[in-house]
Amino acid sequence: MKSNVTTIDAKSAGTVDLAESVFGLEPRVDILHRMVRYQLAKRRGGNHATKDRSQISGTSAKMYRQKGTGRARHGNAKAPQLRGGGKAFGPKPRSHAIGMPKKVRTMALRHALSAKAKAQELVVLDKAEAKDAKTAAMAKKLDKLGLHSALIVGGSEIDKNFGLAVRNLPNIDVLPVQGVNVYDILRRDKLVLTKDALESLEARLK
Amino acid sequence: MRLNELRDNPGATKARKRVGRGPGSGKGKTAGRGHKGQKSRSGVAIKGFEGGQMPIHRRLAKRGFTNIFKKDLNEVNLGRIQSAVDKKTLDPKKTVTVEALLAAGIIRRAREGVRVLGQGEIKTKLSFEVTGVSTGAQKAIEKAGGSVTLVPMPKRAPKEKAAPVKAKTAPKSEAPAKAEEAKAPAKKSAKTPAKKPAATKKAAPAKKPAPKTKK
Repeated sequence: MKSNVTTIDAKSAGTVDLAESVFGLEPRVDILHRMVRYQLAKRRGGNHATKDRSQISGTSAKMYRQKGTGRARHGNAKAPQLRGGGKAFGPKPRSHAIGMPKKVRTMALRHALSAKAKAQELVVLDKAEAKDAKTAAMAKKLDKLGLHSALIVGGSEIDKNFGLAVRNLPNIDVLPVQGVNVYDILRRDKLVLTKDALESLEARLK
Repeated sequence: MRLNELRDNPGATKARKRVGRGPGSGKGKTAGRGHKGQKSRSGVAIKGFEGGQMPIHRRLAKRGFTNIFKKDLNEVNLGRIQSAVDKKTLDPKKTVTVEALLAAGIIRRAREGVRVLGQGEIKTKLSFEVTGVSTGAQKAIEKAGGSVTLVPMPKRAPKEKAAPVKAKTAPKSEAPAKAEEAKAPAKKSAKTPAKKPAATKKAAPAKKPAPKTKK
């Protein structure tokens, strides 16, 4: 599979070969769905907490005697049915992560890349660099390329000026190649890979 | 493809059964537990009960035992060691000890000792200092020009036991161990006479040493 390469100034810079085993798969929606669910579940903090009856401060003494008051029977005032009492079965800090085999996770990344390639939403850049960190200039360039909602994946390190120039643009994300993931790919309309990123992705996923 | 277009395969997930949520749910009043009795209560598990018939776990004879002398060893195969040498996490010039294996990440935590097993191939000349070795592994190591010295694990092993174990394992090992072997009996002979009378004096009443001296 071939793909055109453009420069950041929207000029043509030849073509590259995309590996069929990474970019040419028939995308599996179910795997992508599971992967996104996995990512969103895993990122949850899970630090929600309530106090159960043993954690509420207060006396454990019986409120009043068992018989003869004309009132309902009660033990101590921290019981969950009482106002100010502990919560029964309340949330406790825990991990919300769900399991997913590593091989399936890498497969999901392949399918995400393939989905973008199949929908003609994959752009290959020769380099993601900027001379100086000016957002307005960068916004024009990206506009020319037709990138309004995109994830830009650079090499193992993002060019500093480029990163700064793009940082404040809405709906434009930048990630180094080791940070590329299914959720961020699917979140934006287009996926932009630099040549460096393409190379290391193919080396990793082939 | 966008996030809003994602879906799992139909039938991939099953709806959770919500029990005790009213008559309309079909699992309302008794929540699928029938009426009354032990099995309708919480916390009950009548496992292996076969209605009074002698249950299978009592019908069959008891079998086996737990070996209390069993040693909890780390098993390390030769192939794993070779790959560590190839990756340069293990220095082939130094002797391979528990510490070296730990540092190389071949074993995660040290147990009572390390036993080298013969699966995989070894090409590098290595000298080992481990608790045990299989015959196949020893042959393979020596074929590659290496050597094996057997050492008891210092952890947990009582002092008195350590000496005889050394003597036993010495024939298998090579030159450095033989030197140790020569030393070990010498030490024994020097130490044991000194210790034993002391021990007997403590244990036995004053009468016993006297007959000994007469003899």
